Amino acid sequence: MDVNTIAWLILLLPLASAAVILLGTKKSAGISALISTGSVIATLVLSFLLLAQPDTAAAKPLQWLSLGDFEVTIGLKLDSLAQGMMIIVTGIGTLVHVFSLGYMHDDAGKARFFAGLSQFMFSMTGIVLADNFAMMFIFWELVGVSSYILIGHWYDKDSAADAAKKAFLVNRIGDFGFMIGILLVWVLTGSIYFDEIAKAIGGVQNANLLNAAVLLVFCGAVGKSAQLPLHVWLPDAMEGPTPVSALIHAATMVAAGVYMLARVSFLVGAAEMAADTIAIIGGATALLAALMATQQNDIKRVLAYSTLSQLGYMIMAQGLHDGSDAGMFHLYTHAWFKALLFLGSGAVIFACHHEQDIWKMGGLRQKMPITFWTFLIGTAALIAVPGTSGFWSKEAILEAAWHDHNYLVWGLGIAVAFLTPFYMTRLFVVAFLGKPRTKDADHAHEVSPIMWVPLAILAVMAVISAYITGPLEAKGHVAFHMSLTAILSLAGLVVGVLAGWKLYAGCDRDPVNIKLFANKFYLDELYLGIVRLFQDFVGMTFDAVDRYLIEPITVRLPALAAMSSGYVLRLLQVGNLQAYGFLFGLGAVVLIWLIVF
Amino acid sequence: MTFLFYIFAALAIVGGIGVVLNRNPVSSAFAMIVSFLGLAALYIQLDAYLVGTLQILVYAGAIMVLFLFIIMLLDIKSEEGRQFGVFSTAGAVVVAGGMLLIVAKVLKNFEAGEKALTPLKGAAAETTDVSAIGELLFTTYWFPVQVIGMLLLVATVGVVVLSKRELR
Amino acid sequence: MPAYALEIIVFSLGLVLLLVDAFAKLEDKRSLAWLGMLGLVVVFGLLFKVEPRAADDANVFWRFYSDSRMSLFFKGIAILSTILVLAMAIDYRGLIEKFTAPAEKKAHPQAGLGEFFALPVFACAGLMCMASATNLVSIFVSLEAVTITFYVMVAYMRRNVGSLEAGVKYLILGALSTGFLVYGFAWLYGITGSMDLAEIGAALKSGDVSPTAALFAFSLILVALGFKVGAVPFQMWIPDVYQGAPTPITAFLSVGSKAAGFIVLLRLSAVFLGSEAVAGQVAMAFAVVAGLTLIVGNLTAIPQSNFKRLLAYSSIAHAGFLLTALAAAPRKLEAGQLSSATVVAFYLGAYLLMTLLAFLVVGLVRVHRDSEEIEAYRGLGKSSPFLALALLIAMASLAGVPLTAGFFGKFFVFQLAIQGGHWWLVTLAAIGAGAGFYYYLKVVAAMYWDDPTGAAAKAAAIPVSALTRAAVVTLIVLIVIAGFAPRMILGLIG
Repeated sequence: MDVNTIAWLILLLPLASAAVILLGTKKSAGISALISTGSVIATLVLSFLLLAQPDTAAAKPLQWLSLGDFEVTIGLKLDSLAQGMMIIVTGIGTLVHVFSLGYMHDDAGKARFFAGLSQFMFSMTGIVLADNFAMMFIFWELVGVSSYILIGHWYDKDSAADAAKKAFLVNRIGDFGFMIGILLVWVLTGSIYFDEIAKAIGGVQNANLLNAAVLLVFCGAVGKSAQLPLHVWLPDAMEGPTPVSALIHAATMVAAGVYMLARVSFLVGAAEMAADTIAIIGGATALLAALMATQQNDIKRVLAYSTLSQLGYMIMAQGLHDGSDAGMFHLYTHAWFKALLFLGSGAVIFACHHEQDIWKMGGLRQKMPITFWTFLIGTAALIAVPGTSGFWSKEAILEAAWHDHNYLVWGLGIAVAFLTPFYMTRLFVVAFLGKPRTKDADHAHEVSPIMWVPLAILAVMAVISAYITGPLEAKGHVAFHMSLTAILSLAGLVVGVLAGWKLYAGCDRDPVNIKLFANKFYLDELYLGIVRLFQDFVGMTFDAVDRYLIEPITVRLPALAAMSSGYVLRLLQVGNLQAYGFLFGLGAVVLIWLIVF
Repeated sequence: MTFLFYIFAALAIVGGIGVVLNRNPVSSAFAMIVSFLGLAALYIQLDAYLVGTLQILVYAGAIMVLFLFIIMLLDIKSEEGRQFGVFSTAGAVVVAGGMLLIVAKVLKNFEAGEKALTPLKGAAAETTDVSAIGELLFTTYWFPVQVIGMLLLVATVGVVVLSKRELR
Repeated sequence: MPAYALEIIVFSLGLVLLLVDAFAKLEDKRSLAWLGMLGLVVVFGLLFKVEPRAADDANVFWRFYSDSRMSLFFKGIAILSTILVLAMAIDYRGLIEKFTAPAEKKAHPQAGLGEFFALPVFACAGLMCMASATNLVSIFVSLEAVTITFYVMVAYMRRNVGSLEAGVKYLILGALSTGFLVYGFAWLYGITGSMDLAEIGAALKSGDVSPTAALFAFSLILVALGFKVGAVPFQMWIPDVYQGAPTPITAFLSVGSKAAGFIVLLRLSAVFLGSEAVAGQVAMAFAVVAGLTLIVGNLTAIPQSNFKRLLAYSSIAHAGFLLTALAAAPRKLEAGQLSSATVVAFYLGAYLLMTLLAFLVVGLVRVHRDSEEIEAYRGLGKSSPFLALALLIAMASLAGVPLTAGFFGKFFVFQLAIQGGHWWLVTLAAIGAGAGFYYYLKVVAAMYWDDPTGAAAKAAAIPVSALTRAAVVTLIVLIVIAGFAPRMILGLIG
């Protein structure tokens, strides 16, 4: 197969699968699930074929839009970045599909679910392979829609419908900035193609405008990768089925923001002020999310906040000098172990009859040994135990911050390195060790092979992925230097784990109670307040205009009473009309004056 | 001639003010006729005889008579008790005054371009002669005239539909 | 066949409808609407068969009339919207009958319905004339023909106070604006000595015309046309009239009337923008009006709870985007750049599709749920998924979601404004577009996310006739096509 066929097949197979399911096999859930899983396995194979292609490979573009000097083609960029990302997307996608065969076995909307997954795979592939901003933006939106559909899969549950709505709307805010940013970049460089922008970027004179453009583009990443202040949707998105959380809200979609920044790293590099902002926002997200994670009781929410925190790391790296590669490296390793943790939590939830509160679990070590061990490996990778993949990639980011002399950001990163082991130990100790606290936990038993086999594969990857970087080799590699950073992060690991163990071993309820963290710094409440305030403000303003401007002119005009007694005119609010006439005349006079003189 | 211009212009303006200030609708309508007469005289002064005549025939003759009929048929008396409110008067004065000021300023700044219009006196017959104008309307201007025909048809249909007591 | 034959056919079609209604003693007058739609569909087809003016055709008629691609495109807009308005009128007939026919037994139950089907056809003929008008005289008479037809149609439900009130308001304010228009035309004729737009343009360009007077004429015309298209500060009639008028007529008003206003504005602004002496001021005037319109239209739409009023403010907001395109008209068109006329035409085409789609649903809901409040749309996603989907697409397109027609409309406007460096207009337009997302999605949220209350909770599915279904599907397909392949539409504009 030539590169053209491979690339287009990767993009279109999931679309075909979604279409076939929605139009044909919707009635028979089993066949639909198999079609969807088959398509993703096929794309995984094709992605491996793609690996053999040189870095400069590109598929023949498809002319889509030509408006004067503005041309958009659907072109596919197949460089090593895209090749590596495709392995992550299709690899984890495959495992999640297989896991879902077990997890969603009895779900009434199984066919719909798998159609949604296929649609998501299509959209995500589009983002990864896009060679220009316009195409990327379109798939960016499609990803948003698929995510909406999948979060709201159990739409008759109010919380799920609300979470889907919230995710969609919050993303729209970021995307709007993204769109303006794309337009600005286009104005500045005269192109929307990544290659051409890279060539033209040196010639851009207006630094302020460039900074603005990069920050606006970054808005898109803030939405999709759930950075401050738009992070609020991701924890709520855990209302979706757990495989969805693993695929979309841990490994792939939320990484799209990071991927996009890595894709345009030359842009970020050219805009210094914007790059600093990106690094600080990433660092702040990492720290705040880690703090919030320490006080969550829902197993998936803890993982969600840890995802936020790790995404913060990746975004932070994108804002650093020479940090983009380290960020992509972390994206790559994180995808495996976070998918593992989510699927592991899915197995736990499945076994405990959809119980998600960690304080109602406990003692799962004996009941579900495979899940226990795989989860332990995932946790080890997340808290960066030396030797696991997570360790290498996190070190790379922290070192990049140190070498950039960006000590504020570096400090944020180190603080997170202390917190992560703490909250993960808490989660692990409470959920898996000790005694079962409820009947559900007591009756839990190991899940079927179709669910634990993906866990096992992911566990292997969680350890070794850092050593087999493949196409991402240039991005990161296993290297260790003794440095202040390394010492501090190892200290963080030890202190965090010990503190977590000391505090939580043998506890039946949370000994620590920090309202501020548990309530996520009250940011949700704050946003709700702002929205309400805004609505009230707008409402009040126009009410005031009505009451104090329109009414006096209309109602209080004595003429009204007399005039309205006319025969036809009685039917009308004459005063209203008179006021309109007056406003019309006044507007005309002012406007004419402005224009003529 | 300038003297006559001022007389008729004043007549038109006084008539206009009379329309606004009169409390009796019938008097208002008559004041309007006065205003139209002043205007017609101005047209004739500019050698636009046909327009001047039409102004009297159509507006003063036909339209105003229709107005009067309607006013009398409806027997509107209540208008007489009307008073001018402070707000509406102020509003009217502001808008009208502003417009007046603008026109005055425009005229002050107005340097007549080289493409001034030729006076009608001694102009070609087709701009003054009724039959010539009629011929023009049905040759050169047939298209606008047709559209006006449609406009009148629609207006007629509309009046019937909206005002007939019972539709059958 | 020459282009003007189309107007003649449409006008004759209107006459035929009136005569059939008067003499044929129809039992069910719906067949009149069918006849009208059929005729207009044929005319729409003939639009593609128009032969351009022969080179040796020296008829004086061409002083009043243009058969450019742009004119034909706007004629297409007029015909298409009239067809859809007639389709809506059929669904809406119940309310028309209720508010026109008398209570007496003797009368035909559908008395007054015939003219309601015939008047839009006449308005269509007027709109088509307007699309081709290149002379102050033809502009004025066709504009008035359209406006007077609209006065009648707005007040058509004569036994309904709201409709009557809307009609009188529209009539009086419309007459006021016409006064400004005629005064402006008079000044224009006075300073240039011609009624022909090409000659006026040449005179203005030559520079021997007083700029003050030219600007005065322009501003008077802008006031009048600003009223027609709903530009701030001449927009106050729109919410009241839109709300009071019968829904099909509101749709017609917001699409046909606006399109006609804009083509005249386009033609006239081109004349003024060609003159060095006044072009700067003229562009500034458009920018000021566009900025005001964007802000007022979009922000006032936010607190609306009545859907028809919301659409009225949305129509003002869209006028703001269209005026932005005019304000950002490039002085010199670079190769490959879209002219602002093309952008406006595309935007109006997109606006036609999405607005009529929205009004189709509004009309149906009004008839079956007896309400136009947004609350009445709660739970529509469950009870009538087809209509809800249609409205979802209409709202998405109005808001400018990518892959819909509305997105490219807004995109081209932004493109023009950014190329022209009108940064503060871009900012206002961005704020406006953002607000748009909020208030359009409010309706979507009500349909899909809010629990129905009161009567809406028990409401059954709304029956959709085959004709309406076909119209809705056609509109959806066109919106998506224009969203995927705007080149096809741009190709029609030329």
